[in-house]
Amino acid sequence: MTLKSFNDKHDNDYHWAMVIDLDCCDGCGACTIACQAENNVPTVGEERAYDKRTMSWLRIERYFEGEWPNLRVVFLPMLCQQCDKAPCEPVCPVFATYHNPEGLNVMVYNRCIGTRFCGNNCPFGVRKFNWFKNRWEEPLEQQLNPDISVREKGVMEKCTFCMQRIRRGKDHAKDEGREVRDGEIIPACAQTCPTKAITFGNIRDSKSKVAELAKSKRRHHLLEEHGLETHVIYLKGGE
Amino acid sequence: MDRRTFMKLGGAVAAAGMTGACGQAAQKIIPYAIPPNDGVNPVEGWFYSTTCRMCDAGCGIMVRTVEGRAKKVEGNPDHPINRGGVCARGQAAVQQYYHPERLKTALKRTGAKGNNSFTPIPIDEALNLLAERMKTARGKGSFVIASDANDVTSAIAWKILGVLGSTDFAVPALNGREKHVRSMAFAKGLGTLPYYDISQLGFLLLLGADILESGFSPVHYAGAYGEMRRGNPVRRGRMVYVGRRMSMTAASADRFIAANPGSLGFLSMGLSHEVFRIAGDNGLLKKIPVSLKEKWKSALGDYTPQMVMEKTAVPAKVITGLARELLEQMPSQAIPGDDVVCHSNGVDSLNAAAFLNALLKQIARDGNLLKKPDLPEEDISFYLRMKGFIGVPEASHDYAVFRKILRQSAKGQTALGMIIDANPVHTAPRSLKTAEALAKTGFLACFSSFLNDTTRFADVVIPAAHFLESWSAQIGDYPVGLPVLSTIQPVVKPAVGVIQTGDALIQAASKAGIKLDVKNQEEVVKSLVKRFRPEMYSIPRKLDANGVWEYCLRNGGWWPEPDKSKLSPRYVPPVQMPAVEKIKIANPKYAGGKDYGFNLHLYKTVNMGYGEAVNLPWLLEMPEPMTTLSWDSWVEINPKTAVKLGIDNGDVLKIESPFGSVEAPAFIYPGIAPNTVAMPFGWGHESFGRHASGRGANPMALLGDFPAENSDEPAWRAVKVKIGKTGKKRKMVREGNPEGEYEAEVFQL
Repeated sequence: MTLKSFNDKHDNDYHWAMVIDLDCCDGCGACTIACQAENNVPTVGEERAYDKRTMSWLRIERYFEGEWPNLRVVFLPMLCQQCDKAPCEPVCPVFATYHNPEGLNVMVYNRCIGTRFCGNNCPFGVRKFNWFKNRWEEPLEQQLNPDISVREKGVMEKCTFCMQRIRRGKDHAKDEGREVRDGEIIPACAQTCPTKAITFGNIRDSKSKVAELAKSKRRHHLLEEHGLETHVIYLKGGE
Repeated sequence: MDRRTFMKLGGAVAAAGMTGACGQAAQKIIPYAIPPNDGVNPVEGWFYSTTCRMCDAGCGIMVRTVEGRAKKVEGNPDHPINRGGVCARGQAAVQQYYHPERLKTALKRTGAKGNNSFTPIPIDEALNLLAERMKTARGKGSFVIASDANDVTSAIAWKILGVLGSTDFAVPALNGREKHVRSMAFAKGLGTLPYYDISQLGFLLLLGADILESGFSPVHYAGAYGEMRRGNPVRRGRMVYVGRRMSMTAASADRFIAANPGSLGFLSMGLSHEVFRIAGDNGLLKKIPVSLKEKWKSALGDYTPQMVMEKTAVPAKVITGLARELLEQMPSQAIPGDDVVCHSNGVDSLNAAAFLNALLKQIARDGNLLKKPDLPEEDISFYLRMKGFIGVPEASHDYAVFRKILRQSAKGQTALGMIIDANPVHTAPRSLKTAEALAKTGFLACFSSFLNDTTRFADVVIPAAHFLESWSAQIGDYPVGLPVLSTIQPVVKPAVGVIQTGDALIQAASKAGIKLDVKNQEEVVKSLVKRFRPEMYSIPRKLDANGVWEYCLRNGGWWPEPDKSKLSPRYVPPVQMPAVEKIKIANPKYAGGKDYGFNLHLYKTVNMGYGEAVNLPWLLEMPEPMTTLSWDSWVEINPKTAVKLGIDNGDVLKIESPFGSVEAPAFIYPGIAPNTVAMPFGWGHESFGRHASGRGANPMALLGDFPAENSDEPAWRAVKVKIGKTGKKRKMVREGNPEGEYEAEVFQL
């Protein structure tokens, strides 16, 4: 089985996608802290942050254009784009990162041997490597989310679209013998967003809100020309 | 019924609201060897509705707890203030709760004041010490400095203060609140903060108003902003920002217009002039009496686009263009912000903006230009009555009260001071000599979760319980078009060694022989709910007192239906037109003469605010959205100015005002005017744990006692500074590079 044929399988009911409306995003960064709280993402301290060793899975990029006073600024929440043709996947020698049937780039932490090839191949810079052993000083460890693991030194990690919430949502649906309802699963970033710029859902369900929004004329993907088939869809800001 | 039962109810309902029916499934799968008796649910956890107290806005939150530990803050989707959103600071509440440096014992001062030398004592002993002082302090001068005046804790403090024969309750903050309230009194006869409903607007003009990051409720306005942009599928609200600095809010606007500092009052009058002229030409003012029109004409006559252009440096054409847009894209509104308020002509400038808004509303209503029916004027009577229950008057926000407290303390005329969850030594201008005054207070009791700049001067520090382990209630700080009562319940079992501030106050008072008719903070919340029960019409009639209490805890409080059309009776009073003839905008005045070449622009960042939570690593490591800097403060300087002065990123500059000086590393920032330097508030704590102490520079050192006319709050953007290189260089932690691109080039404007 080649990776390509695996990617092209379309026998699953779910394909998770996210729509981010840049016209609503005000760059406040609430999503970055929500992600940190939900996913046990550590802080690294001033020295290591200076060396670009921060671990945040989600960051707000802001772009300036022009000179005072004729300035334009654009914010862009940057997270793993969950590419269908992901550049990070084929380079992993141990299949620690692979494409799951629901369209997610998944990391298997236990398999990762820390070659960092995936991070090198990711054009978005969203893969974060654990260069150090992370410590949570007592009693901060009591805040850690029990749904997911704390990653070890030497392991690559990245946004999972809040895998644990997807899992939980699907479990509930299964227990009740139904499909997951649209809007039932909300990742931490989307849930906290004060402007409601982020929408998450199953793009294979044509009635879902993401499928609806993805039809927008403002739709675009990052680095579309590379054919990555990303599943974070941005809606252009401005008039 | 015990507390656990309430909490369980709260959890079950809140969780169901979030993800359908969760909870039961996991319990089926995982059997207990010993069944728990307190509703522990090991996989899903419970969601408890409460209210965020990381700032004063009072957003409704639901906290996920698993096995008795608080894990995650989520927004309460039904709460009218935040509608499900939570900001970065709110998310960090759980980190604050589990902070290793939280106080877990009472402290008694051992060395000289200001030395930070304390010895741990039992809480009861600390309360005895406080009670001793309460006994003797009657009529001899006492005060309370708090961070909020609208919650149950402040209600208890206010009562005790009354018994001690004092009304000196201060909530000092450099946010222009007192001027906003004064302007509302002038414009509408209301003694509250203004509220702007922006969600339905076609055109929004921000006059230096950073509503999305540092207004009175950033999350509320962010929600309304999202709705204004994309809530209506056929029309997108347009937003224009006029100001001195490309702030986060300005970055979200469609257009940025630079104006001179302190000139936005002129701009408001100029816009009124043009709106009046254009509307008159187009026959939109037919319903307004001729005598009134004549009055307006003479009052606005001087503010021609040409004159306003000279004052503001905004081209006359742009002013006329803005006026046209305001008229063409009705409903439209202008929001005045810090750039209007914090100059020497702040109050008049606010009044000018209020007149512009009233004029726009009048025209829209007369001309039937509103596509949706107009909203009724704010109904604030219920809000005011609830505030009356709390008791602390709006005047507590006046800087005059704070100044009076400091004056009396400095003279040694104060027997007892109580500081509740506030840090005035850090957040007040240095020139007010807060620290010196507090050092001379007879006995100072601080109720705080952390040791900070102010607790250094305390005689006794009482370890305050975190809001995630407290009972309380807050009256939404300003009416969001609705009266809001937000309840706060413990989401986890309170930690050992802390005490709720209200309980501590009540216990100390009873030891001092002061009779209060309440036993603890929880009871005050209950009596507040009971008192206003008859007016909470959306709570089913059949519910008894316990049922109502549970209803409030489960929902996080009470508020009417958010759909305003259901508010009855639907009475739309005529627009109140402010007396424009009384508005005279004076030229702005500045502290600092010719030697001081730069305007100082101080501002609050979205993650740090005034620095209350600067000890949390999550927020420290979060890049500030505009500069992408973290872990330290900075001073922003325009690229061209930097080239002229030979300043590079990271060069440590000395910023000197007539009142003091600070040192901070330079950050070359394209979004700041060439003759201005900008610095964020919140940094430079002298003593606030190991993460925050000595980190960054506190610009409060640069502010002087330069009151604006009609106000006691210092005009904190009316200071001029000079800058010089110190020769030192500092590493700056920066996520992106100053021109905007990141490590990956993925996006083009």
